[in-house]
Amino acid sequence: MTLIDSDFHVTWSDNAALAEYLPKAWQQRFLRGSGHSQSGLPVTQPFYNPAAQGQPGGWSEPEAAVTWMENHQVEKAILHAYQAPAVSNFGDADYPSLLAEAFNQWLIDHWLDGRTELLGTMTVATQDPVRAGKEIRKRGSHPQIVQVALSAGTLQPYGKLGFRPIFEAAAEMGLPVVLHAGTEGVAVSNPPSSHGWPRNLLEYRVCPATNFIAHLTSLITEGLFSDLPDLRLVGLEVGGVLPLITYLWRFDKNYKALRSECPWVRELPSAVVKRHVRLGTGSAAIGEEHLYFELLESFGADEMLLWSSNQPRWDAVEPESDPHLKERTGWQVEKVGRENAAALYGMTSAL
Amino acid sequence: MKREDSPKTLDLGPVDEFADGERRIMRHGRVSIGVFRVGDDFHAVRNYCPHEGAELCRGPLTGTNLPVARSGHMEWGAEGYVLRCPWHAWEFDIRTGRSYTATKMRIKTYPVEIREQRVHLILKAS
Repeated sequence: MTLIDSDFHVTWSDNAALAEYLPKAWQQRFLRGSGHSQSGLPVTQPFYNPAAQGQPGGWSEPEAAVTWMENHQVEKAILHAYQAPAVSNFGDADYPSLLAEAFNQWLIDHWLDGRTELLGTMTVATQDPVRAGKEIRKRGSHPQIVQVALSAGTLQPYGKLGFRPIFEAAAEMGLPVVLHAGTEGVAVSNPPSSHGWPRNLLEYRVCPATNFIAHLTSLITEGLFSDLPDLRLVGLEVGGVLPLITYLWRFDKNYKALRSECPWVRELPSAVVKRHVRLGTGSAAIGEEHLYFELLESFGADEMLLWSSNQPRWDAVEPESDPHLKERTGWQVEKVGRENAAALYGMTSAL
Repeated sequence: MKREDSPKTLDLGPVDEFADGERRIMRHGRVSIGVFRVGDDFHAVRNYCPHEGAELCRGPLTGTNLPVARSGHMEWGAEGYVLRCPWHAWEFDIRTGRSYTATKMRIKTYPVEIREQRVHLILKAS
């Protein structure tokens, strides 16, 4: 079986490479302020910056990335630049929009053009949702741009009306919206825990599941999936499926009581999630392996998981040793390894 | 020879003594049933919420916001037919026993017939 890797990280080797894509008027600002938001707050938390520890944040050259793919039977990879969505956490509006557009064009020029095995995740600045929608319609029309990353860290949950132009554009273009953990608490976003700032990295690292669930709950109850039947949401490194299962038990139960508050939600939240949401396998906490897969199978999670390596970061996995790709009774390994992603990203005919 | 079962019925008395909007909760054996008059219609449902077993028929009989196609729109309807559980507000339409959640979840309903100006609750065939 060849694989599709739904979480494959790239980065720019130096800031000058990205600066070229900015108008002159903004280049110096980027080069001076890179790594910091314009409110002076760090974009990458010092305790969460692999580069500061001498570890790669992503592939910086396509050749090395493609070689890794060939060595592991990965036929297609969905590229993410981990730090790109953090532009939405700047206190500014014009500058992050320009930076997102510069990043998207850099991704197309440096990674996608001429390499059909690579598929790209664009980003937009949520501070200007109308402009973000235009950017999604413009660069999102590139045949290898397959989804739109938004920052996981925000000031409001994504179901709020102000974000609508972004989700409408993504649905119109057939591009899933992806939230990748890691920007929670960055710059001017809310703290990564619902109760404030964690004391240490350990605490920070277990928060993203609750953050993702808050966005997901908002998107469902505010009716985004009712209004936009083509909208799809992807969660990467947001704690895997396990937290979702018991959360949906509760969501379904409360829906039965309170559905009249949001009558546009016309079916159980779990049914909405199964149709509209896909999750990467990265960061899943497997614990007891037999129990983990028993729960996932009971939920039908093999219909919604996207195999994700998270290469080349320090917490990456290799397909040969990933339990999600092991043959087991009642587990549709081909769906997890390839078919779910192929269907989501419209690649069915290409495979 | 097969015995023909006739439905058991409970005679609830004259129609004109059952006021519009009135509800009566009665016990038949181990089963509690609520009978409701809405205009000229009568409906009966089992007095048991499938959620946690509350006495459903003691909740308000109201309407609900009907399922709609788009967010931000509210369409009040089913006025007088939506029984809301007094414990956790689960809703059931007394005409069908169904909820508005697009699930198979439902409460048991019983036919009510008017015979010779008297209200008869039709129970399961014995």
